[in-house]
Amino acid sequence: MTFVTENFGASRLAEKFGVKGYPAVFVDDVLVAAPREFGYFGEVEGTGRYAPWRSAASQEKFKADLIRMIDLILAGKKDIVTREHATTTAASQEIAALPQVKLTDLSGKPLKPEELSGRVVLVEFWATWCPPCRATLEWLGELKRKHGDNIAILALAVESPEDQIRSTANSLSPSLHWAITDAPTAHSFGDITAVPTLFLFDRSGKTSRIFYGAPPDLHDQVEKSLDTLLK
Amino acid sequence: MRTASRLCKFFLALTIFGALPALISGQVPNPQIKAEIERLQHSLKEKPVSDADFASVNSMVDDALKGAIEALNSGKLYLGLEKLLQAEDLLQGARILEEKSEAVKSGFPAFESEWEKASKNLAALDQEARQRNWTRAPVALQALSESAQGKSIPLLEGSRGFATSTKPRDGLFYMGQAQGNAAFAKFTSTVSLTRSPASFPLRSYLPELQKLQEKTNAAFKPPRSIELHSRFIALNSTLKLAEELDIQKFYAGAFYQYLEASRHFGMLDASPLDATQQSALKTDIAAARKKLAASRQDDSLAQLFLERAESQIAHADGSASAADEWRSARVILDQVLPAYFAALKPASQILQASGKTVDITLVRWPYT
Repeated sequence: MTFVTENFGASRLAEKFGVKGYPAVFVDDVLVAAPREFGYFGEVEGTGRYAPWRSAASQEKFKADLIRMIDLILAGKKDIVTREHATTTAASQEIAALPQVKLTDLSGKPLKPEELSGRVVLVEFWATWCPPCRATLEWLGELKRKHGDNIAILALAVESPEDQIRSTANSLSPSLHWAITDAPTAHSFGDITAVPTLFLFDRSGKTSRIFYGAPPDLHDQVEKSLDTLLK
Repeated sequence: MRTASRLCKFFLALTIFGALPALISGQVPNPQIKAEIERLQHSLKEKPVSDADFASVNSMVDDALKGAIEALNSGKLYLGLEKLLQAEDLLQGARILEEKSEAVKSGFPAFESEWEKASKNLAALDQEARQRNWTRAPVALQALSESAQGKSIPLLEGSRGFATSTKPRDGLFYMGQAQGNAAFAKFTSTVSLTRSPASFPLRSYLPELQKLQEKTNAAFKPPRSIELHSRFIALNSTLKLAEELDIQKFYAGAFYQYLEASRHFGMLDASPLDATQQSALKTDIAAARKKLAASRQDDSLAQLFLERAESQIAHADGSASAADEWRSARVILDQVLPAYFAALKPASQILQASGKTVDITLVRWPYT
């Protein structure tokens, strides 16, 4: 077993998985514990599978889980680990097209297929405890204003309290489709391991790009792709 | 991961070092170091930090600089430099927020542009640091310089990570710290100090670091892993820095950080000292001082830790030492100095993993 540390801000594994916080733990190239699982990701500390970290139970649970993951990988059963964590590399999980999902927006109105059909579609998975998400949601509102009916934008909240989701949605652009993500929806997008994660689909519904996290050039990258798709 | 809580921990760490000095030795303070401390004192007086979030920085930097002067005046040259680094690191971190425009503090494109500029400058300084010739300088001076240099680039990378995951303003503080560390490393490379005639060959300290990491892992069990959480964080981050320095062949810096990690490890079990034990410690420190003074070898790194122990048990202002300071001084005598002398011997073999293996990767903040 080789123990490696990578610095936050310079970790290639974290970048690959769109992990924008710390700590995160990988066994080989499998993400086995994300920052939020230690309760250190976001504004609210203390929630997560291994939180609070300063407790014997959390530390023992992490130790037991980690040993099990190592044993499985050494036994050649990486597929079990990846399935359990649903966090294989982004590339291997990327979806080919916009999934057929049944969504109900925050007002209780079902999302109709014709609202997306023939449009370039952006789907952002976000969370209320994710500061960069707020900025990307504001910017998505601007994109919607700029491109109007040529595009449709779905803002799908994950792992967040409903009242905070509603509060955020109310304070931002009403022209986005706001909804709370359920497990089947998240799974249909290949499982969401980082927020923000932004999917871009062309007018035929084919996946154009997927953006993990909020790198400094996110807006530029998305807008360039969008311009190409809207030509 | 919030900046405010991180800064609180950082400030707490500074106060552990405390406002120390005393023991006037009659030595003339090094004029270059004294001038640098006074330059920063003047700069702080002329242009105090005004950002509301960093209001406490002024008094903390002032205290560190006063401590540096007191250490210097009492002949504790290396302790003075440690305190100068604390001041420079903190001041540059806070200053950068005032120097940059609102666009840089709130927008990624402007932040990114500043980051690229800083990255180029720091990469050039890093390159320059690798060419330095330390053959005539005491190992402790080299160690202080290499340690600061080794932190510079990871802090810069962390600044970008923070800016991305929170906001650019949060990342700027660490960009300033990165610049402060590089500036200190450059300054120390210009300080003229004479080394003792006999030197010892610096080498990789990975075998020692590997053993200490194993002992640390074994010690990390409830309830100590919970009760001494902050101490374990300090210990592990020091081990990590030591290893990074070693990999970069900054061996003096790696040796220094290995000894500092040994001190943190010793603190896990150190008991409070009663009056009799305190008295015995004073005698032991005096004996260690005598031994180092008689040495013809460059034992400046051991001297650095002894200076710390001396300052911890005898404050310049006559105030009483805290229980942790007595414990730390005892650990320096009982564990750090023996670790120093043991590491002067040739390295033992590094344990290699055999058979099928996996990589466990931890992504973490660099230094806490």
